[in-house]
Amino acid sequence: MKSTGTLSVTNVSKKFRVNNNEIHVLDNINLSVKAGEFISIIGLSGCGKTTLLRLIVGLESDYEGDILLDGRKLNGPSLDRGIVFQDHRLFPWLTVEKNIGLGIVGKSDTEKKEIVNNHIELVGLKGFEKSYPYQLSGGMSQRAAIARSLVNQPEILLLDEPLGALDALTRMYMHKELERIWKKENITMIMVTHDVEEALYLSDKIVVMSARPGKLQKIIPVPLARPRDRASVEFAEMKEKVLEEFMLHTEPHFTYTI
Amino acid sequence: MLSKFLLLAGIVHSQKNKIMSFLSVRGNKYLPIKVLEGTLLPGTIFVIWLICSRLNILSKDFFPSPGDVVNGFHEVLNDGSFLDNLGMSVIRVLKGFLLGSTVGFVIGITLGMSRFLEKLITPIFNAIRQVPLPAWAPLLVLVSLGEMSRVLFIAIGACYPVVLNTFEGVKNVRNDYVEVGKVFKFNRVQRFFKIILPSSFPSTLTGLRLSLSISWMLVVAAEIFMTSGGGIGEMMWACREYSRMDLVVVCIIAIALVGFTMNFFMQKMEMFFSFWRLTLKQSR
Ligand SMILES: Nc1ncnc2c1ncn2[C@@H]1O[C@H](COP(=O)(O)OP(=O)(O)OP(=O)(O)O)[C@@H](O)[C@H]1O
Ligand SMILES: [Mg+2]
Repeated sequence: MKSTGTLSVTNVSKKFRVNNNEIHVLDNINLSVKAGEFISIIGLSGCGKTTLLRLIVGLESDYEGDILLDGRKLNGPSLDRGIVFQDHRLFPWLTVEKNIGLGIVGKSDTEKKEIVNNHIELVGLKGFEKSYPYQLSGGMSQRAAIARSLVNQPEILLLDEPLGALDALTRMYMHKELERIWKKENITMIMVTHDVEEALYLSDKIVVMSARPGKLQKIIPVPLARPRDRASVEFAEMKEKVLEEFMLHTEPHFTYTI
Repeated sequence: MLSKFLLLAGIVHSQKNKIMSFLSVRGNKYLPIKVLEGTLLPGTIFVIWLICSRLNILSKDFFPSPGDVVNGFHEVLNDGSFLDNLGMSVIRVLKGFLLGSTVGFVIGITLGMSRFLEKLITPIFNAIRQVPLPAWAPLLVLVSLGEMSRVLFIAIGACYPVVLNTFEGVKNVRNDYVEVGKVFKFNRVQRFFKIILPSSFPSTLTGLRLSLSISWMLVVAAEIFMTSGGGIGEMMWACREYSRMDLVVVCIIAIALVGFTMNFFMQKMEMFFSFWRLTLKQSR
C-alpha cells in the first residue's frame, strides 16, 4: 500500500463574486481519499464538480476550509497533483510527443525522451508521436492529455469528465485503459463524470453531489471485485442504488409524473 | 559561377515537392488553372489599355501605350541603373522593415504582457499613430540627412501593424493554456516561450505581412520626400520630371511586381507557421 497520495478535504466552502453578488458554489465539503483510491464524483451540471477539482489542483486559492495532501496544506499547484481538464487543452501548435513532454522540466534530453516514449506507450498512442492535435480523434486527444498529466508522476490525478465527449463503445474501451493506467501507476485518481456506469466500473467510492450550493450528498462505497462485469446482477443492483440516490434528492418531481 | 548555379538547380530539383507544396496557393488545384484565374483580370485590363491607346482614346503625351512601356523595359534593363535602383529600394525596405518590426514586436509583447505598461503606453501610442507618416519627414531630416532618415521613415510605418497584431495575439492567448502552464509550475520565462509566444505567433505573422507591404509602399514615398539616396521611387520621380511617362509606368509595374512577390512569400510563411490555426480555413 502506498502512503503518499492521501487527500483530506475538510469544511471547504467556495464562493464566487460576480458583480457584487456572491454565488455560493461549494458548501462545507468533507471528503477524505486514501492513497491509491479511485473516487468518482457525480452530480448535476453546475453543482461545482469542476470547481472542487480546481481547488484541489490549486488553480483557485480563495476558499474556506482546509485541503491537505499527505497531511500538508496546499499552496497553489504542484507537480504532485496532475489534472486532465474537461476539454483536453492540448496545445494545437505542438505535436503529440511535444505536448506530452511539455511539463517535464529539469531532465536531460535522453531522460525526457524516454519518459515521453513510456507514456506514449502507456496510453497506446504509438505511431502518433508526430501528429498534431487536430489530426487526432477525441479519444486519442484525451489519451494524450492523460499522458501529459502523468509525466511528472503525480500522487493524485484529477480527471474532469475525461471521457465525456466519447461514444459509448470507445468509452468502455477507455474504462479498461484507465483502470490499467491507474493500476500500473499506482496513484490516487479522482474523476468527475456524469455516467453512473462509468463511475461504478472504475471507482472504489462514488461521491454524489447535490446542487446550489454544491454539497456532498452521499458517499457510496463500491465493494465489487475487479475487473467488474457490467452484466452481473451485483453491478445492476449497485447501479440501481446510485440512481435512486439521484432521483430522490435532486429530481423528486420525477416520482409522480407518470 | 556556373557550378554554383548548377548546384542550386540541383537543390531546387531535389526539393521540388517541398517547394511546390510551399508555393501552392490553396489545396491542390491544377497550376495552369490557378495561373489563368490570377491573370484574368490583369489580362483584361491590358487588352483594354491596348485598344484604348490604339484608338487614340488615351493621349500619347499623357499616357504611354503598351508598346512604349515594353520599349521602356528594354531601355532600362539595358541601362543597368534600373535594377540597381530597384535593389537599393529592396535593401532599404528590408532595413526599415527589420528595424520597425523588431521594435514593434518588442512593444507589442510588452504591452500584451504587462497591464501596467499597457495603461501607461497605449494612449501615447495611439496618439502617435494618428500622425500621418509624411509629417515625420521634416523631423527625420533633422535627425539625419542620409540613409538613416529614409530607413527610420519606413521603420515607423512598419512598426504599427506589428505592435497591434502582436498585442492582439498576446491578449488572445487562451487562459485555458495558461492554466496548463500553472499546473506544470511554469515560471515566467517558460510561460512566455512555451505558451504565449507560440500561441500569439500567427497573429504576429499577420502583422509582419502587413508591415512588409506597408514598408514597400513607404519606400517610394521616402525616396520622393527625402531624395538623393537613389532607389526606384526616386527614379520614378525623375522620369516624371523628364516627362518620360513610359518609364514611370515601367517603374510602377516593377514596384507592383516586387510588392506582389513580397506579399506572396509572407502569405506562404504565415500559412506555413500557423498551420494549426489555419486548418479550418484550408479544409474548406
Ligand atoms: N470563475 C467563476 N466565476 C463565477 N462563477 C463561477 C466560476 N466558475 C464556476 N462558477 C459557477 O460555479 C458553479 C459550478 O460550476 P462548475 O464548473 O464547478 O460546475 P460543474 O459541476 O463542473 O458542471 P458541469 O457538469 O456542467 O461541468 C456554476 O454555477 C458556475 O456558474
Ligand atoms: Mg465541470
